[in-house]
Amino acid sequence: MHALAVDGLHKSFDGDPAVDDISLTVPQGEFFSLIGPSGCGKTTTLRMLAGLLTPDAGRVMLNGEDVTDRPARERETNTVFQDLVLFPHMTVAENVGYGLARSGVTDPERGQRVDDALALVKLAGFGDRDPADLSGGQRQRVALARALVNDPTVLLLDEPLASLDRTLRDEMQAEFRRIQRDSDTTFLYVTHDQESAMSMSDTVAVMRDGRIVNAGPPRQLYTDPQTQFVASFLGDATLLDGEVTRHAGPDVVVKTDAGPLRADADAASYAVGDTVTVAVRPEAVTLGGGGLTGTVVDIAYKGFYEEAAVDCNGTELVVRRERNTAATPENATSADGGTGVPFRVGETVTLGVDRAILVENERR
Amino acid sequence: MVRVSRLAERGAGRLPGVVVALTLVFLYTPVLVIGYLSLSPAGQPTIPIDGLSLRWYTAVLTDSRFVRALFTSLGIGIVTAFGGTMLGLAGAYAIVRSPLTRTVRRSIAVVIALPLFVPTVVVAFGIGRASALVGFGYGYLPVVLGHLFWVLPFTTFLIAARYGELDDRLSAAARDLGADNRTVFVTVTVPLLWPALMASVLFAFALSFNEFLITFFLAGSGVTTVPLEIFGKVRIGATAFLNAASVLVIVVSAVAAGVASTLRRPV
Amino acid sequence: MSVADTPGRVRDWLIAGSPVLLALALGVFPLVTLFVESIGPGLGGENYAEVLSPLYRGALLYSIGVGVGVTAVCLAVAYPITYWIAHRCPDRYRLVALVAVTLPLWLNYVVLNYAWVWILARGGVVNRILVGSGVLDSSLDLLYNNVSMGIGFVYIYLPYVVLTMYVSMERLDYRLITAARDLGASDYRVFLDIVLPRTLPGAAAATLIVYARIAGAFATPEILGSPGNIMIARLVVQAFRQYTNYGFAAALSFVFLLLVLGSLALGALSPRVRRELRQW
Repeated sequence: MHALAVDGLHKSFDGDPAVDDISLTVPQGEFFSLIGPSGCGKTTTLRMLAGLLTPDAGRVMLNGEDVTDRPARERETNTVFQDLVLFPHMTVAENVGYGLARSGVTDPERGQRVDDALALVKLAGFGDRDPADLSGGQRQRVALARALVNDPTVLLLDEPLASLDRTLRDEMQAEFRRIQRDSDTTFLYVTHDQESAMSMSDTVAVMRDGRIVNAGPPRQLYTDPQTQFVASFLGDATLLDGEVTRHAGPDVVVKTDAGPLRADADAASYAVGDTVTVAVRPEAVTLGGGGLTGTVVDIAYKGFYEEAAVDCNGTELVVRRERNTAATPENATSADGGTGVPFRVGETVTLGVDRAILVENERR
Repeated sequence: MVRVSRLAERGAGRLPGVVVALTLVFLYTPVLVIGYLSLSPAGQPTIPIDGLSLRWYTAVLTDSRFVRALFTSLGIGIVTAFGGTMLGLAGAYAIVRSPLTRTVRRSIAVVIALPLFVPTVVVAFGIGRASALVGFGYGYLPVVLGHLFWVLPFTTFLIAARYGELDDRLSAAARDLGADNRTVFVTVTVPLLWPALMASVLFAFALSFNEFLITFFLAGSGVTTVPLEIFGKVRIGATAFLNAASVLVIVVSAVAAGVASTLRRPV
Repeated sequence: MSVADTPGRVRDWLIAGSPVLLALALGVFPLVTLFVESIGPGLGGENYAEVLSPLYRGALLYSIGVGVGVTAVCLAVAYPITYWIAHRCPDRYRLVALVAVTLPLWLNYVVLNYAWVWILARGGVVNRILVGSGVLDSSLDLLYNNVSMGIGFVYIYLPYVVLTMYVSMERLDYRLITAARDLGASDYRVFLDIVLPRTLPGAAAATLIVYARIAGAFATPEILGSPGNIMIARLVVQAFRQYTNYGFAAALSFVFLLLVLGSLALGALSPRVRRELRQW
């Protein structure tokens, strides 16, 4: 039985479908992320799961029980809102204890559970503080504790990290993951930030235009995206159109403008002559050898590695290489084959592509 | 150098500051003058006053007509303050937060704002006639209703301004945590509106306590409020008694204003 | 409506109903009553014919004129005041300054107008100072004329105008003024091109709040005005209290109401004001 099961959810606003046939299941204890660009319907979906919005069609099941027609307050879900919405006129402890008070939990049990929840989020002793006096990260923790303390079947998180700076966000991500494991609560996390979703989640579902276009473990979505949208939304990818020229074992060889690329695929489902789209991730591109030749057109320093955009017959491929701090353009002759020698704009390099990914082209 | 450019950038010279200073003198001179004259021992004070005395305050506070009027005014003011604030809260909710359509909400706002742009004398006369025709006649009930009507736009828009700023997601958060509508109202909405509600109570009290024209039309012979009492005496002539009574009236309203100015926004 | 708002419309109509009912019962119903009375028995137009006789026409126009004039003075004074408080006043004194200029709002206008009698009377403060210091030989008649009445009106209604205008003035982005100045605008141009258009909604709202009340005022002209210059409120009060000629007073009220609303509408019809009002 799943903690959360959603079947055929629909919601339109003034005739425009915002959520168009969403179905998903989340097993107990899982960290599930719903990601997509803004306006894709992910927040609308979350509000329907929370009971703050009524779906036009579809069912929402919590632990196998149909809760579609129950309002928010009667649902075993709790939400960590975007911008948190802590009650400004209550102390931290009153905020955290609010839900318990509503379900009739009285002191001393309520006080104990509030203390436990604050301890879980590492805010023990902060109960008497005013939320306005806390730092951004601490307020995050209060919002999390306020929802978690009620022991919800599913905890819904609506982009709670959006307002934090990068350092704090990275720290809170690790905390969210820890707290999720420690409390063994099912998390449903909604965000447009693919990086944080990928790093925290057991399962990620990518939404676009009100639909889920691809779902699975982060690694699988990254290495084997189903569509070109998913490929480019989850990390860098160069997309190339081409034609299948031959089969090579389980793989196919695709002829593109940049040159022939080998893509692993269920070869049987592609016939020679099919028009296809492939995605190439930067880390699949190697310098030197390979069958592609191109000109470096742009260079970007990215900390411990360096990235070059290489023009291969009008298509730009991105290649990465670790930096060697000792090497400078002055003492290097060519990037080709050398290790750690900086790229130079205008130089000619040869590239190999280990593996291209066959993706659905949504434009067609 | 910096200072010079900053002054140049400000422009418009000293005119606004001078106007503010003159306005403050303009606004507070009469209050100070009447306060000063109220201390005169003579029944017909001359300027400057010939001595200091509180005898006219004693006279006012032992004058049964004035004291009765004072209690009438306080009573009507308190009823109006709380009634007007509750009605104002309902009106503010209807205008700012209810799921009624935009047109309906706008119409409600216009109807509530009526006393602001219809001349008071017309409204007061109309209410007086209507009250006589439906059999309410004159007296306490029409006066209180008239005052409620008069303070309603002020309380409504005072509360609505704060209600509009209130984050709607706070009530969504409360519902998500298991609160029903009544609980959301009691535990979230009212506490966050509290300063506005208090300000509304105080301002409605001041408006009612000072209201003259509507009362003048609706009071009939049985009800006398402080402004009516003072107006009646003003027409007869300026006296030391009137000066002391005026100061007392100003003190009551100023206390309400003073309390209101200490209200802090909690957020 | 949805699971989110279960109690829905019935409850909302009930909540909205109480204040609306009061406003209708005491705002609209009395006006209807007045209209019916003004037509009088037999649907004759005599009451209206009498209202439009020269005597009363003069009072109507005088009332409207006082309303327009005093409102204009209040606005003219409120502009520099609110500009100073919103954009010149040091932050920590801003609230104090705003409270100081709006405090008389809380006080009784009968009492406040009465205080002016002591200032302007023959034996009052002004004459005492002027005569005592030798500027004047004998006292001046400062009381019971248009000026003393105007002072009384401005005294009462200026705080309302300041408070309403301040909201607009505070929203005015001072960087716009800096930008205009940077582009070479004089103080006069800055006021005309930036301050005035951006604060017009506040000025319009302030006008809406005070204009009708000034034009229809009773106490201030009684206390400080000239006995010869009759404003509408005195006529209505007289008819109501003494003559009990309700039909005529009703007609007078009605014509006056139409004039007030008409002049407000005239202002609101100007396309510029309308555009600005939409921001409110």
